Amino acid sequence: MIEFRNVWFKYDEEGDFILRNINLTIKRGEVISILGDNGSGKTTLIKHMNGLLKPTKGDVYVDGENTRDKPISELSRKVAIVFQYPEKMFFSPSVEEELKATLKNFGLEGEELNNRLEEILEEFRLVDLRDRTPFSLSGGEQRRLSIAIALSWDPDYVILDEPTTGLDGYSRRDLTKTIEKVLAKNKTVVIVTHDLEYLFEFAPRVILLSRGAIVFQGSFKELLENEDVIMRNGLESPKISMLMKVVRRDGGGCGMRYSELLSVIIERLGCSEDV
Amino acid sequence: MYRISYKAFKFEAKDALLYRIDPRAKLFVALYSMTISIITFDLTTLILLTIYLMIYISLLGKILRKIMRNLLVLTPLIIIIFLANYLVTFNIITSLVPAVKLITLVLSMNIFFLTTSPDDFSLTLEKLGVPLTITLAFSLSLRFIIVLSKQLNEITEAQLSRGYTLDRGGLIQRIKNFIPILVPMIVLSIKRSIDIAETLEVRGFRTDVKHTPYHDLKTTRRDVVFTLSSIVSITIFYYPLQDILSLFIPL
Repeated sequence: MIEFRNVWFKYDEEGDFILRNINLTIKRGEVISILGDNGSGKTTLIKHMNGLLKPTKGDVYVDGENTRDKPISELSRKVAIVFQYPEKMFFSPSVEEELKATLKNFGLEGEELNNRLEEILEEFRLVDLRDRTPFSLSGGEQRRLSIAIALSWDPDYVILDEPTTGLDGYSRRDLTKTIEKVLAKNKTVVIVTHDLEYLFEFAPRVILLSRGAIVFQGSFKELLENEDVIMRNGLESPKISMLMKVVRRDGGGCGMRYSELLSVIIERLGCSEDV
Repeated sequence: MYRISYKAFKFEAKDALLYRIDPRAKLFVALYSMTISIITFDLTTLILLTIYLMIYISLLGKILRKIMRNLLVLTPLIIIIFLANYLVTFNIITSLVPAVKLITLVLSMNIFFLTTSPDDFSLTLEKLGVPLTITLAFSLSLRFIIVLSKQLNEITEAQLSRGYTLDRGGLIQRIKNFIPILVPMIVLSIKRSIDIAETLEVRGFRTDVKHTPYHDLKTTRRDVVFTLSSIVSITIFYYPLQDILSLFIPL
């Protein structure tokens, strides 16, 4: 469990507070999304989760341990952050070497290292890319590699900072599959975004930040029903939620996952499942 | 802490006279003040000049705090200069001269550097006849300092989040620890340079034709008054006051 207790933060003494009185609990195995407009403090908030930043006031606990008392190298074993621009984490001449370097850093050697490497390459469909330079990969492939790197040491919490930025439709679908794999392993996934449309894939619990303070906490469904909150905080209400309102008349609901919504529509229109 | 502060390199315009003055006038005053600092070997004069420049900059530029921060960074160098001279001369006053000289030089340079934006800086150089390719490279380099230090922070954060530690092992290992930071730093900087070059080409930037700047520099009566009063005050302040004080303080 990651717990924020009355957390206030500012980068320097003269500046304003970037985070204001954050109280938040993230449980094991849940999908949570941190939303907010540009400059609302989303990235600053997640940097507290693995100890990159320490609160100016208040405390952050990861599995009961205060982040002030633990070095980042130790916290990063539990909490992996995949930043918005994955290329900033690459330094090896090939995808294979990139993964090997990470595994070596976490103490794996010899056969154990090779087995784990093959496992990851297979799992994240990186086998064909193993000899490519990470910098030469497409945006979607780089994102997939960065998630593979983050999951290679089996952390309990995976935090994705703006994972859909700059991705085309194919890469977005690819990303969804990757996240679903992470979820299947009962890991906690934190998605930082302002892309509400994408969240229909997971219908997570949402935390909405504005000027460094939490202004809304609840289910994705509850957020969609509060259009006023969405508009006031610089987000865009997804068009699909309009369709959901229509479907709701017959017992559907806002905040359903795409797959559930599709089933209701197929049922109502009498189409075949192949649609 | 692993974060690099780029605040010292960030230009922030303030509501003060020095920011509104023609950069050429500021450059002239700064160079004049630096010349006085270089040709002076009298400790009293240098100390008086230091005090005067501090008051001058804080009143006209409102940047005293920033200057004090810069001087604090330079403190080890100032101490080394003093000690090195003392070990040769064994005379405190003679050793203090180059140390105080460094402070006056920094203060003089700051009249121009801390109150002039990178754009105005390159425009000033251009007006002084420096070729456009050089002024452009110069202003881009100034901007790059901030961009690169931001990038360095982000790369360091990404690698720390991957479980890398920078302060582990002996000297060789510590140097090796920086490879995950240096490689993306170099690759991304080259990429950024190519992007900028392409952007300039796309926008039709040419160096073989004469440019007409969007914001041109204009010398007004205020700039002339500023330049003359600054030169006169530094000069008058320097000579007679030094002579008068020398009568009372036998340095």
